Amino acid sequence: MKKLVILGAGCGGTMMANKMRRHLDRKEWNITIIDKDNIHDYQPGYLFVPFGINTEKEIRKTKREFIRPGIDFIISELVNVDWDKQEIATATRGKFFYDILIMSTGCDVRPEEVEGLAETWEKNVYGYYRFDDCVALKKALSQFQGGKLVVNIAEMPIKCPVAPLEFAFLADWHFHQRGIRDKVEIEFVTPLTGAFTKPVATQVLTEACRQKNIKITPNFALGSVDGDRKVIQSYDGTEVNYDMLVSIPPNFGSQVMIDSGVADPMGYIPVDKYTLQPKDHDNVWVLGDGTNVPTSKAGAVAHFQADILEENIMAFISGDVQHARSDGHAL
Amino acid sequence: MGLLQDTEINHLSKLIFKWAYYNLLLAGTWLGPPALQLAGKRMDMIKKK
Repeated sequence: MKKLVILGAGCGGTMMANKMRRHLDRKEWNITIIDKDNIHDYQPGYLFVPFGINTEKEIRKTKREFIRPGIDFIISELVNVDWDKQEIATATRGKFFYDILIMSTGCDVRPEEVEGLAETWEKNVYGYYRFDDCVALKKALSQFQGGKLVVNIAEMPIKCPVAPLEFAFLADWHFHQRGIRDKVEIEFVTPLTGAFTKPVATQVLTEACRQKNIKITPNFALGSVDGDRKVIQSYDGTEVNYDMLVSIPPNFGSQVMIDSGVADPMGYIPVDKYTLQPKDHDNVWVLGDGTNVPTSKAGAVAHFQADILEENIMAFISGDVQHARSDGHAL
Repeated sequence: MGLLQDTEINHLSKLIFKWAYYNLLLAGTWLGPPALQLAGKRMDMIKKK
């Protein structure tokens, strides 16, 4: 029996498991998908939890319910990935050997990477990139009666690059709904040169911010957070004060991938940006937020990458030329 | 700017996307090529393996 192992049962891993199970004969191929837990969060819904628009029931489900029959779902922390031995080590379920490996281990926020940020977390600094953070932010927002709300991106790349602006727009709506918008100042502080990464979008979004009375402070490279003084400081010494800070901390890929020696220091797995394969390992493919590919870290990108992987993996198995190329599109 | 305004269609689109995410995307259903796949691209610059 040949073995296909998939690391990560989030958006990318689940899509690939279900796609490949349709193609591969159950008598010839065993498919195993490994993840540390059984919680599947609808991440686009995170943004709406702090405003009471989405509830836990709506966006938090089990991973198992989305995985097709005929796929082994293993719940265990990963310990090591060895591409040369074609071996995956887990914390509680032993080792798994593979003929083909698909990696979709994602990325996460790390407040501890910024001086003072983790220490201040949930005191006067909040986030919305993890479910528990969304719940804490909802409570804080409901108690916020006025003052300065700062939305700050620590550094790029981040998951869903447009989400911070969406958050600022939703905050504007939220405070209008509560009738206290005139008591709240909203400032969007970003390391980018403008509201967004692309010039045309930046022009449109800058105008939207102007109409919503949201101040944009560009070119701000976050150096530290002083929660006692309620100040964020850039590396060049510029300070921005706040009453409530909504922070988008640095994003990192999986620590296990760093420790396994298959990722760069940021935890992102280096791959060919067209084939999504690491150098010299023709039976390994990587998709989603965990790659170092210069495209948006978003489920939509993982979706189109999955189509590329599906076609090329089937060509690899049958010994054909792999024609499909990823171009990084999200739309 | 229309897309950035508070509209019913914007809200409806988000609901439809959530349904599609749970029922089509995660299931691995092929939804067609990217709509903007070739727009503005220098295809001659894309290397062949």
